[in-house]
Amino acid sequence: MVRDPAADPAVDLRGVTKDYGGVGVFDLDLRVERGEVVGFLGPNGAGKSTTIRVVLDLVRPEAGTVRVLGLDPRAAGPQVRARLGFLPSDLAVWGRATARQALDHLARLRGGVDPAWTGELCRRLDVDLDRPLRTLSTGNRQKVGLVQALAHRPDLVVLDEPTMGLDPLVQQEVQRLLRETADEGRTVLLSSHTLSEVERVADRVAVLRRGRLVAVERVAALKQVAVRRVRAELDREPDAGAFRRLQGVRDVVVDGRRLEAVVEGHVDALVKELARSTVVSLDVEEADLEEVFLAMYAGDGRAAAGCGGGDGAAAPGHRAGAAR
Amino acid sequence: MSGPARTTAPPACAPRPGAVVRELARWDVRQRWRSAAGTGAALGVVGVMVVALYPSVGRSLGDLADQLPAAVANLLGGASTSTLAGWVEFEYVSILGPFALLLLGGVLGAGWLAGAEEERTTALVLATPATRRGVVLAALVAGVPLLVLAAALSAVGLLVGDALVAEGDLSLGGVVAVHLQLVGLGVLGLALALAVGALGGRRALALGLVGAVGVVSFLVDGFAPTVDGLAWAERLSAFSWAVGSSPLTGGLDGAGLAVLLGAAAALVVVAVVAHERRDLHA
Ligand SMILES: Nc1ncnc2c1ncn2[C@@H]1O[C@H](COP(=O)(O)OP(=O)(O)OP(=O)(O)O)[C@@H](O)[C@H]1O
Ligand SMILES: [Mg+2]
Repeated sequence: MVRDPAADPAVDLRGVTKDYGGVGVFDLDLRVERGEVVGFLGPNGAGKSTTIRVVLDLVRPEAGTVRVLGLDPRAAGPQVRARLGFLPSDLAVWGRATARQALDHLARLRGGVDPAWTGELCRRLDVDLDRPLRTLSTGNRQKVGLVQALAHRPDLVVLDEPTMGLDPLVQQEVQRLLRETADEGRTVLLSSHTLSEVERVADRVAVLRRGRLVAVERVAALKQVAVRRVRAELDREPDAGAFRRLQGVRDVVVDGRRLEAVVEGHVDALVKELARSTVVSLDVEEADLEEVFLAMYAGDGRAAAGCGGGDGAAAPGHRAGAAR
Repeated sequence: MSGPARTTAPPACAPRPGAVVRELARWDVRQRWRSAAGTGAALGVVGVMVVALYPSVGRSLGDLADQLPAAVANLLGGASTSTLAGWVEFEYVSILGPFALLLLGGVLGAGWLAGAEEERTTALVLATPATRRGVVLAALVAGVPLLVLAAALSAVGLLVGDALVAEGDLSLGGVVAVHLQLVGLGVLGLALALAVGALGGRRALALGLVGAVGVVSFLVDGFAPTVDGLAWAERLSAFSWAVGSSPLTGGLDGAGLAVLLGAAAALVVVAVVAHERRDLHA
C-alpha cells in the first residue's frame, strides 16, 4: 500500500503520559494538521514543555503513541529531526561562540542550509552575528534561537515560548515569519502562557492544565463570540434606542454626540447603524479573546489567569477528547 | 549582510551519520582544545624542569632515597633514582603524568556530556539529525587527538630536558611508550566521565569519580606491593596498568594498554546505551 506521507498530520499524539510523580502530562491526545499554526497554552507547570520534549524525542513517555510527520520520532529520529525546527524554552547557547559560529555548526549538523535564507532571517530579526553569544542580551540570544529553528525551512517548527524576552516590534516580525511558514504549507506548534500572545498567529489553541488537555478551540470561533468595546463620535446625538435594539449590542451609553457600546461577535450591524449619521471618529477595541476563553471555560478561569489555586478539572462537556 | 552558513543548498534528507559525527567532534575540539593544550604545555614545562633538576638535586636525592625503607620508596614511585630514567619515573611518570592525563580525559568527557546538559545546549544539538549515539562517539573522536596532543607536549618536555642536561639517558622509544600508556589512561578517564554523564550524573560527579580512580590507583599502587597478601590488589590500580611496568625503560606494555582500552570500550558502550535511553530535560 502506498501512503502519502505528506497527508499524515504534522503531530499526532495519542494517550501520551509522562508521569513525574503526580505532575507531568497525562493521557494527552493532540493532532496538528499540516499547514496549521497551533498555540499551546497553559499556566506554569501545565506540561507544555514536557509535551514538546516528547515530540522532539528528548523525553520518552510511559504510555501512548507519538507520530511526527507520519513517523515515530524514536525509531526514525534523524529523518524526523531533519525536517523539524526547535526552539527550547529558556534557550541556552555556547557562550564563547558567536551567533555566526553557532548557526554554522547547527547548519552543518543538518547537512547545510540555504545561506541566503539564513541571511534574510538574521536581517529581519536584526541578529548580531559577530559577538560572543554570552555577551548578548536575553532577547538577542532568543533571536539566534529563532533563526536556527527556521533556517532549514523545516516542515514542522516547534517553538517553546518563542516571544519570551522579545520587544514588541520583533514579536510582530516573528508572528509574520510564522504566518509565512504556515502559508507555505508548513506547520507551527508554539507554546505560550497567554492567548493574546498567540491569537494573531494561531489557527487553533489547545489549553493544557495540570498535564491534561482541557480545551481545543479555533481562534476564528473565539473571535465570533468575542466581545469588543466600540466608541464613536457622531455629528449629532445618536438614538440610543435604535442601537439597543441591535443584535449582540449591549451596554449602550450615549453622552451628547458620543456613543459607547459593547458588541458581541461581528461589529457589522453597529457600524451600519452608525453610518446613518456622519461618523466623526470610531474606535473599536481589539477583542480580548482571553476573556472569551475564560468565560467559555469558566471554572478553570482562576488557574488560567495564573493566580493558581484552581482545581484544574474542566467541566466534562468541555473536556476535549480527540483534540480536533 | 551575508548568511553565516557558508554551506551549500538544503539536503533532501538527513545528512550521513559520519558527517554529523565529524561536525560534532570538530565542535567539541573547538570548545575544549585549550584544556588539552594547557595541560600539555604545563606537563612539558614540568618535564623540562624535572629532567634539568636531576644533576643537581635528583642524583643526591636519589642516593638518599635508596636508603629509604622500601614501603616509603614505593609510595613515592617505587623506582630507583640513581639513574636519570629512574628519577624521571619517580618524579614524573609514576604519579604526575598519570594524574594529569586521567584528569584531562575526565575534564573533556565531563564537559562534553554532563557539562553540555548543564549548560542546556544538548537539546539544541539533539533537535538536529545528530543522534545520541553520535554525540557520545564524537566525544571519543574529539578526545583521543586532544589526549595525544597533551601527551605529545609532555613527551617533548622530557626530551628537551634530556637534551639540555645532555645525559643522554632517556630513550626516545621509552618516552614514546610511556606517553602511549598515558594516552590509554586518558581514554579511560574520558570514557568513565562519558558513562557517568550518560547515566545522568552531573559534571562534578563525573569529574569527581575520575579523580577518585586516580587517588585510589595512587594509594593502591603505593601500598599494595608492600603489604603481604595484598599484591593482587595492585591490579585494581589503573596507574599500575598504565605505567606499572616501567615503560620508560621496559618499553610498551601491550597487555596493560589493552586492559585500559578494553575497560574504556566497555564504559563507552555503557555511555551509548545509557544516553540512548535517558530523558533529556535540558
Ligand atoms: N525532569 C523533571 N523531573 C520532575 N518533574 C518534572 C520534570 N520536568 C517537568 N516536571 C514537572 O512536570 C510538570 C510540567 O512541566 P513543564 O515544564 O512541562 O511545564 P510548562 O507547561 O512548560 O510550564 P512553564 O509555563 O513554566 O514552562 C511540572 O509540574 C514540572 O515540575
Ligand atoms: Mg515550559
